[in-house]
Amino acid sequence: MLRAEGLARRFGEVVAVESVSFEAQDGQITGLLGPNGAGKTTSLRMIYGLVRPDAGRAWVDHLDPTAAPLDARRRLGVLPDSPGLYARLTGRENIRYFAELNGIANDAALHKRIDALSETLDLGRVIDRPAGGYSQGERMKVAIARAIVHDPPNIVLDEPTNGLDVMSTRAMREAIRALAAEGRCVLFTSHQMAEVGSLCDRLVIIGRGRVIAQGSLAEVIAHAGAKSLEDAFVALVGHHEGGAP
Amino acid sequence: MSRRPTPPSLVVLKKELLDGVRDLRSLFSAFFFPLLGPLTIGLVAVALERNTNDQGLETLYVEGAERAPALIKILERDLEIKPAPPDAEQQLRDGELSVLLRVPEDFSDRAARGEPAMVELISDGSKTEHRGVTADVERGVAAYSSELGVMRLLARGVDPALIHAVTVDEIDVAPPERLGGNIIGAVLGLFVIISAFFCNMYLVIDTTAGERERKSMEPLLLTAAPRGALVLGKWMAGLTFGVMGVIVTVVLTLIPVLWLDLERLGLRIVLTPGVGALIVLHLLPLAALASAAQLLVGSFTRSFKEAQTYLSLTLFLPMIPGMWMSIDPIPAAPWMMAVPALAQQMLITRAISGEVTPLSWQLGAAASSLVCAALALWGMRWVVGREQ
Repeated sequence: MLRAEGLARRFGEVVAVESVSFEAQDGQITGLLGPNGAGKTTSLRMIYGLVRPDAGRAWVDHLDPTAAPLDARRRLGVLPDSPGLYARLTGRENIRYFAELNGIANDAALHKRIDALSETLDLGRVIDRPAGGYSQGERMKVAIARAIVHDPPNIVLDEPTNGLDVMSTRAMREAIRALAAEGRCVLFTSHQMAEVGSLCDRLVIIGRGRVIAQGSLAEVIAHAGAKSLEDAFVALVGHHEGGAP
Repeated sequence: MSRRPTPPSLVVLKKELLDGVRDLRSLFSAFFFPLLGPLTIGLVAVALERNTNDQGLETLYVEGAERAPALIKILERDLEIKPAPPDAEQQLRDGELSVLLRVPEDFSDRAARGEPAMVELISDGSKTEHRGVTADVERGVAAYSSELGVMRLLARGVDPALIHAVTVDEIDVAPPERLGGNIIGAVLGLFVIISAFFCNMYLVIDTTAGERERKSMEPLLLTAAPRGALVLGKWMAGLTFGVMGVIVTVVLTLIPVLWLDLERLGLRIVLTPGVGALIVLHLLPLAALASAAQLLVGSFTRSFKEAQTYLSLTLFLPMIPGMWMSIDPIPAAPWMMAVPALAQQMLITRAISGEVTPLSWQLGAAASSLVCAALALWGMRWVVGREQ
């Protein structure tokens, strides 16, 4: 379970996040939507414990990432918006490095776990090649495997289908559904409304550092008085961007 | 058969070393530089040996040698005297002749009359390689002139000592090994100290600025590994490369020194494998500082190029003592042990010169470097821990 309670953060004069509250439940896929610069990434960083909130609190299960960052991160798997791999290490070595950093012993069990991930994400052909030669899709899939190799109950994916081809996008969606079906809390961001609409159990829409709307897909569309998610998003964000109450 | 998890600092160390060994640029910089030092020292030693072995006398062309047989006899001690060809001066202008001494026809007449007699020394002043010959001739003429003067005074019943108002007696108390040791020690010290800084430079850049540039820093900071462990692992990886560079430099320098007979050159330096091991030992704390200081500088930078620029500039700091010492050797003093790099430079020079350095100095030198290393690591921990 991931939760934000009145998170606020400013950088100098710029208010990045004014007040963000939401909750992402276990076993559900929660979509976080918002235009660029709305405060999504800063909100996520406060949940990771990378940025300290000026006000409010974040929760990773029962842990406050500001107070217990290491325990919180052990229960968290993150695919940041632009994940870098080590080009001279193979995919397997990249994944193993992060597993070991998260306190997992380098033994036969880890080897099997990486094989299983490789199977799920269809990485069999490339996992033992240096990551420098990977395509965008292969990089993304290895980065996801790296983020979830330590079996975290909470997973944050920042635009996981960015730059993927049709087949890879499909495989990624299946993998995200499978993670939630295992009872994990999955929070993800995307700019593709169709993808968000088909995947998410709940939606949280952020604009100008505030939560504008949240609920199920139907609730959000009804709230905006629109016909589709895209119309609802434009109506809500545009309305908000216009500055009217 | 479940294994215990590896401590995160060792996980980082293992990964950075694997990554570093696979990086041609890191490897090249780590092992190219250590070759450079011994090569330079070897070349200098070979050149010195050749100069010393070269016993053949240089040639002086003389016109009218028969007019000054006594002078020629003196010059023959240092130079090979050959009669000048007819168009000697022109040949000299064309660069075909080295140095020409012309004894005028009236030389012996004037000498016999007790008047100042003159010889002409003709050379091309732009050709530095002939300076030795002209200096030999000037010295020979001065000796002859003084000899002649003394005889004239004696013939007139005057004590020749009267005209030597002041004389200089040069006494050099340096034992021969210290003279050689100072020069070779300064050069070797310089190379060894730079290798402690240079051999890990690319690895350090790759683990700091490189980590940011390829955007792997944020995922790394999102693992459950403590920040201090990440810093420690990266520091140990840099230290490993630095120490390997120092060892390679010292071992490769031992080869020309042991192979060439430097004692014959008057360069009596004490560079046995034991002294080499002592030098490596002296360098360990400095290598610890090098890795820590470079990590600190690297962690402030955002790109590979930026890091390369700043780290190349910081590379000059530890070079200053060595360069200063090779130009103007100064005696060691206790305060120098508090200055990293200068302390190691002094310790290496003394070790090579066969001087015994008090243990308290050696420990002081190690302590000052280690304290600075700890401060730099603490600073790096702060930089990594602050918000992105």
